Amino acid sequence: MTTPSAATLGVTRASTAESPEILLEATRVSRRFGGLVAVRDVDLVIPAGGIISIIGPNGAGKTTFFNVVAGIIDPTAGTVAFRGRVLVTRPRRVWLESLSWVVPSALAVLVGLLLGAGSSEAGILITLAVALGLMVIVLVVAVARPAWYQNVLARIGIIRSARPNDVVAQGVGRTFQNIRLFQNMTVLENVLVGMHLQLRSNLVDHLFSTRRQAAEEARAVVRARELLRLVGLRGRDDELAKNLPYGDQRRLEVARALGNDPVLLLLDEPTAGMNPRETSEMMALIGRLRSDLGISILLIEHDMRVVMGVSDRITVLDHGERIAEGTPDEVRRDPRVIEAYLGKPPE
Amino acid sequence: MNARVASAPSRPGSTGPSLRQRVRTFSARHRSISVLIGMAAVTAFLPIMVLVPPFNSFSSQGVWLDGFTIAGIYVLLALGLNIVVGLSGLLDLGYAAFFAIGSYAFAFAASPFTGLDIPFWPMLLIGAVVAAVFGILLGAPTLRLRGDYLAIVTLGFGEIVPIVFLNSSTYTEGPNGIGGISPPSIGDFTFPSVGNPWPFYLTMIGLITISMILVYRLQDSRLGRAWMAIREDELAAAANGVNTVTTKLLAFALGASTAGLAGVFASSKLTLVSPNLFRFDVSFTVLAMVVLGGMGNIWGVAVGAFLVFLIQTVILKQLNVFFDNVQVPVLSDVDFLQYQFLLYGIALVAMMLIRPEGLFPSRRRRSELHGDEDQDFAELGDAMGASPE
Amino acid sequence: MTTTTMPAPAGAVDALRRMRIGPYLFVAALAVVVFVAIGPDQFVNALTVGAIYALVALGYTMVYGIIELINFAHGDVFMVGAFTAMFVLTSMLGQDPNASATSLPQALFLILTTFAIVMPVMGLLGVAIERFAYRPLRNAPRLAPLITAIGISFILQNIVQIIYGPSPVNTPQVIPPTATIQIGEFSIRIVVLFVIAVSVSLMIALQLFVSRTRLGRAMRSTAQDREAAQLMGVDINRTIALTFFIGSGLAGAAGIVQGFYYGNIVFILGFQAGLKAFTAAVLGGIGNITGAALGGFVIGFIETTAAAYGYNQWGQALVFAVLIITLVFRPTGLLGQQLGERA
Repeated sequence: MTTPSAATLGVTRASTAESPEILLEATRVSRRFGGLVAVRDVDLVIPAGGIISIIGPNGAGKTTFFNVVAGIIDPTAGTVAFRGRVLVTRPRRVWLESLSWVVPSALAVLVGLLLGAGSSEAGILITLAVALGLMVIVLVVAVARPAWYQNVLARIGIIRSARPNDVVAQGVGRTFQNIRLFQNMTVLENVLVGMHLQLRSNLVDHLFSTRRQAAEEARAVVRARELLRLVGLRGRDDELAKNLPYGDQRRLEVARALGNDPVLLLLDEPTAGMNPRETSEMMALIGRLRSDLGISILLIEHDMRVVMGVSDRITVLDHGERIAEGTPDEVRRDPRVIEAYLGKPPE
Repeated sequence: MNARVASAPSRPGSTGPSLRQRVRTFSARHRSISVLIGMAAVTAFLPIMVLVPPFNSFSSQGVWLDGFTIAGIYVLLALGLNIVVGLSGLLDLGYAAFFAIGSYAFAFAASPFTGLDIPFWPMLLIGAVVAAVFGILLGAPTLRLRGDYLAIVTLGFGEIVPIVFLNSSTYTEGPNGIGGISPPSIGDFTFPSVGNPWPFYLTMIGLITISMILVYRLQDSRLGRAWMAIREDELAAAANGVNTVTTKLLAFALGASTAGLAGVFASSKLTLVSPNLFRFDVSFTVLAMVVLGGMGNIWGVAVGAFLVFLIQTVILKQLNVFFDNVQVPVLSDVDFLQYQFLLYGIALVAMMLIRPEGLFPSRRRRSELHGDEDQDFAELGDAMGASPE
Repeated sequence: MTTTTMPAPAGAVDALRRMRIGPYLFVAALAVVVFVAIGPDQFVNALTVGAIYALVALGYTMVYGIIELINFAHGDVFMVGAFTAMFVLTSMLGQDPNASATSLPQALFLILTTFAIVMPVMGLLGVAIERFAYRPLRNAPRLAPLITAIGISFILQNIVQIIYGPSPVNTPQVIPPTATIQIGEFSIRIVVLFVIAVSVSLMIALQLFVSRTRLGRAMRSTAQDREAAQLMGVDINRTIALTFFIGSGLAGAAGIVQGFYYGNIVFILGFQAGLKAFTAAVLGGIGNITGAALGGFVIGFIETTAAAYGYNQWGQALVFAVLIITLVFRPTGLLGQQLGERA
């Protein structure tokens, strides 16, 4: 799916489209769960090559905001644009989408009945065949040409927000706060899944085990090993992910997220639960990701030392709202930030 | 993946570690060849096995081979369901529906009922495609559902399909079913339905071999990795670029197509299809085969299917004959035929309690690069990892 | 704190949605439509059928809620309950299939004795099944207990089949099926009122038990998070056993009223009714007790309506079709939790 929403919502952002430096722009993102507003009107801009952090007390809505950006949770308002293309937006009338599979067939049956097909057995069979065929065609189109299909849907007012894999396809990788590796797959396989979108072999290649696929897989394994070396997991290819020590699991998650050659990496508390040595290793790795690979980073972190050390700019959330934004020094001195963390000082 | 198990049937007696190691390496590198060798061994072994006691006391070789052919249908079904349940982790309780669709597809294509006579061989492919289409039709709206909601939807679909075939009497002969379905033929030679069991037996072996090779290739591909990733953690899979909807749909479609293939073969072998051949018990039995064989392990599932089928339809039915022959005082008076489903139920429960992870659990083995002592240790560690923590 | 305006909510629809009365309105509307479509007599039948499904569905939904297991043996516990009730009644009334109570006190005595015997016995059966077939597999791969459940289902069916044979067996109708009560111009069979009254009061009792008592709280907390509940001192094994006891006891009650209402029972009845009851549980939102009750009534409506229009043999297909369509539009059932994360 590409950009149904940009065209139809009429929110094409001239500014972002013209300046390629801005990788991601979140505009007034809100997310409500029932009566609880987890995220309210949060703006965020990530320039190319930047390391931006989000901090805030527990329950400030950091992870929710992350999930909205990654396409896992739909926002209740606001948009997120990647390189000027609005992908994440509030879905409209998605429940109608299921109908789009049935409506053409239902129309076919109706037309068939109007033409008097109901009177003869052949007529009934033909009508049913046409109805079934239409349904199959719609489904095949929806699966094979998702972008076009989404566009058509958007034109009749059905707007779907990007799914996680659409966001990944834009070059955004992510890790999870509570590590979510594929536990029963090997280290190498985990990274190979991370490279899913980089691989082009299709069903025919799979079934006939073509040379093209073999060559591609061989290249992929070489690349995956490089990534593992980069994060410091060299020679552990065939261990099961669940058997790795905690710190290594976090690093494997980073390697997996790198598999798709992202331009932007979303790291959700990458040093949570790590000891000081592991933490400083992870900080060094984050620095290397930017300097060596040119990847921009959006970071959620609790550890102030990490945040102040690596970030270009920091956004502070509290109760779902942005209460401060600026360089580490500005944020450190902001009275509202101090208040949010330490409570209101006695007047 | 499961190179070790893959090589087992072809090398039942190999004990030396270095030889085993080499077999393992070989079968991982040349998966298709090792499947061929394994299946060739099975093909040759089974007909000889039934000539020796105690098997020859039950029935003749011809009857046995006929039974094996029918068992092969279930092996095919289990291989297909393994894609859905074992590899992708989607619980499908209505798998028999696709089997029914494949069977009826051939019944419509080659029986006096419709007057058509499309040959068997192209219909194998067509039946598979038709079943896959229905798999997609069912899957597309429902695959977004969470695990057990999907289970009940598939269960419902599995109930609806036979009911539709049962009640649309005008098109399906209703409960009587469609009879007189043509058997396969090659040139002028038509497969005999009684007498010579070999043509059907060998065709079945061929179908299983091809399916196995294809399933192995799928498992080892990018698609197979995506399936396993979805099984392990669907959200993380999506967050790594796997289009979960399409991937799951493919699993559904490919699983259904295997059932369609089995269905075409079954209706041609039995020359009759009727709705009650495809009720829930078929779906459940195939699921039991997959789980008992060891989900995700292709050879394990095939062997599991074979064993469960033998227990269900051959061994329990032959207990009377067996105990009559051996003259155990009490047991020979019992009519085991009456208790066969009871015993089947007990067997299911007992096998599950004894080996909860299946007879041949899918072991995520280490690479062949590692030493043997490492290998064995890894397997042990693995088996324990799969059980309670 | 900067106060920013939320985007205007979609108004009344949203407000209603948040109150979550939509599903109830839907079922009420369906009830009205069905009432108009099939008339009062059939409507009462639909309610009765639905009440029985709802009672069985409660067991499915409770067990699923607490250990996430589709307990396929549950439908057969219901069937065994029906046969046990028949056994109890025939041993008190004699073998005459047409026997019914001769006086009101006798009828009351028979009914009470049957419930007093069958419900605990079925409860114990459920506990035994859990103890031997599910508990050893609690940490096994998720599908393992599903297979043993199917195995237990086969075992129960075939034991009953071996004892009572494959054909339907008459069961004493303690409340004479011809006895009616006159309300205005309608005459309603007493047995129907009895079935509905028993079902509804059991459902209310269960709801009160789960929401008001200590054991009910233990059940809910175990369903929420087993480990946390354990840390807080909840005896997990006992709580799960209790869940099975109550669920199976309710299935036993459903078995009794099934016999009272239809007058004959057959060994295969458990599986079919079980499928529909499970469908009811899913339709209502699995794990949700009120949902299971709503789902049971919805299925009763659909089936009876189909039968009333002469599409009896399509009833089951229709039930599943409605289920599939409902889940497509409401992926977690009528009253199910809407998921925070989609994947």
